[in-house]
Amino acid sequence: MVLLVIFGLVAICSAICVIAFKNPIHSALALILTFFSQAGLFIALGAHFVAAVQIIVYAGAIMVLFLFVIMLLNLGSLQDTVRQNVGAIKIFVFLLAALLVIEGITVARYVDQNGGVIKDQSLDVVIQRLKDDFKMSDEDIKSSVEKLYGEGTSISNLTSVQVIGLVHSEMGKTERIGTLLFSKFVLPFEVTSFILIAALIGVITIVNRDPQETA
Amino acid sequence: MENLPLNLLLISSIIKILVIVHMLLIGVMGMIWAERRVSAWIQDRYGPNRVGPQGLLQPIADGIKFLLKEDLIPEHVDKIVYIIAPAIILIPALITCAVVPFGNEIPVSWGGQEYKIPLQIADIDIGILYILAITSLGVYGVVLGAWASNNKYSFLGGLRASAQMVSYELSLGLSIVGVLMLSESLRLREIVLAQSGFLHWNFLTHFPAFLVFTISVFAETNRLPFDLAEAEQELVGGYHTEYSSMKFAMYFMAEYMHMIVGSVVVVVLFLGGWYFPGLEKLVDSGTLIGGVLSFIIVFVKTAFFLFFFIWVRWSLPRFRYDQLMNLGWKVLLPIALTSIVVTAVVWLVSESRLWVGILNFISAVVVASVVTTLVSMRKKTKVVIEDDLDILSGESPSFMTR
Repeated sequence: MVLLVIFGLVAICSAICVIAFKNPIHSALALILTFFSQAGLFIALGAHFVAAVQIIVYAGAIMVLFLFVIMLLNLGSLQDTVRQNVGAIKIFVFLLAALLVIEGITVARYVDQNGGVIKDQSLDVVIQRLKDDFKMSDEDIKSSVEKLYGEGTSISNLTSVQVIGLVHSEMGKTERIGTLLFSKFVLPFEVTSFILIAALIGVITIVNRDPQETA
Repeated sequence: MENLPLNLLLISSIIKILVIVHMLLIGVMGMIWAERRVSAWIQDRYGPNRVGPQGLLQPIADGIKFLLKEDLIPEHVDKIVYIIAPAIILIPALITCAVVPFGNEIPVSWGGQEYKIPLQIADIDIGILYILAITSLGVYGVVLGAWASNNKYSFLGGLRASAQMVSYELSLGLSIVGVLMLSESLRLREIVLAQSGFLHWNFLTHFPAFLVFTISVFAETNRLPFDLAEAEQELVGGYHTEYSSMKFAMYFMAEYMHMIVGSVVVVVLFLGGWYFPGLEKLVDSGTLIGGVLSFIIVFVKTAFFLFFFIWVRWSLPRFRYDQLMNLGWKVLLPIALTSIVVTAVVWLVSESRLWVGILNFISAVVVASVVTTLVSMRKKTKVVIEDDLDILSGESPSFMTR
């Protein structure tokens, strides 16, 4: 919980810095810090795999390219260009803030009423979900319960908070994410990779045009 | 590791952290000495041999020199970024070793009970992904230092470094997928445990991937033949041209730390970790001797690989930039990709490491030769186009005669 607050605050402050800094390189640095605190948030929530992917993809690759492009274009300070359309920007910011507040209230009320997603579900449903979605056998469930709550505990005499803890710890594991990606979500997964391939081929075709054609 | 009592876990972790960090720092000193002595040996010179026996205290003399030098901050730099950049490059190098196993387990008796302590600071679920994530941050130190220096040479070095590291990170990440498929885990400890027995060492089963990974580690550490970011003959000193005294020393140390960590990762992933033919049983026995022996084996393998690093640096010339990009994108990347597909299909069909190894090797040779032929064919057409352009620009003799 403390970690969540710390990382959340750092994320918000650095995100504000991204738009407040005049120098694009400083903004990019602040954006990297934002990604890091987001990864920290994921780790605090137990989603280690997502945190690692966040750092590899965003901080490790995309932001390096950002820096590369900023350096290559040699962008100077943006002092002169930003002071246009202040009125329109104010209205936009106001609308966005209002939207965020409404969204926050709705989510908080939903969580308050329903107590998260799995709180009111019976134990059998949870076990069935573990077996169906994560392809876990009885022994798998038994061994992860014993790993979490000590030798000799069985899933039937866990409290509901402990069951939630079990599901959360399973969801964070790389193995379970892999199982989900290649069983339940195989179609979205394949569609995503297809879209990425299409984008890749598009880029190659644009770059690879015959120089004489463009001349 | 789960069933260690909290006190023991805390104490053992603190000891492990202290030992490993200090080993890394002393290792850097050893590497500075070894680099100078080995390069001298390769070039038939003596090298530094005056300070201490065989010049062993030379790194300490160097360190004192760095500390006592004036710490210049040039007027035209971006001060904050300039100061934090050397720290940014040092931190990833230091924290990568948190998940690397330096040996098997050693037994410790605590409160009347025997516990086994793994020689690894943290055995986390995402293991190798953590290493990939952290090493991908090493480039920031170089790029930011280069940009903050506000110097044309530094700037060019930084541009080269960012493009090079992003390119080679891809093949670095893809080449280990085959290894992960066969060991069925991302945990580095389990990857080593899957390699007990010499024939199970991953560099035999995944020889092309091993080569790709090793070359990419060279590129990621900015070592010759991939040190275009420094290229002292072209760019003065590249990204650290404007750095002096301890800040320069931090860049210097970070390079060696990256080398050490990279070598340990290669040993763990491909060279069998703490296993050695004939000693498997002793190493796995869980006795104190076994634990110490496993540590020594990892140490010796790493030392050999570090020697290999130095050997290559003083034997090979630097790549040209287009050669570097061609190698990364047109040779290493296709080899890494085919190795994934071949490993997956062959392992699914036959479940035999022998066939995976043979077919991996053959497919890599085929892919490499096909790709190089295609690339050389493309180059010829390019030359033709340039000739045409020469005619258009009026420099060609044929145009003059008209």
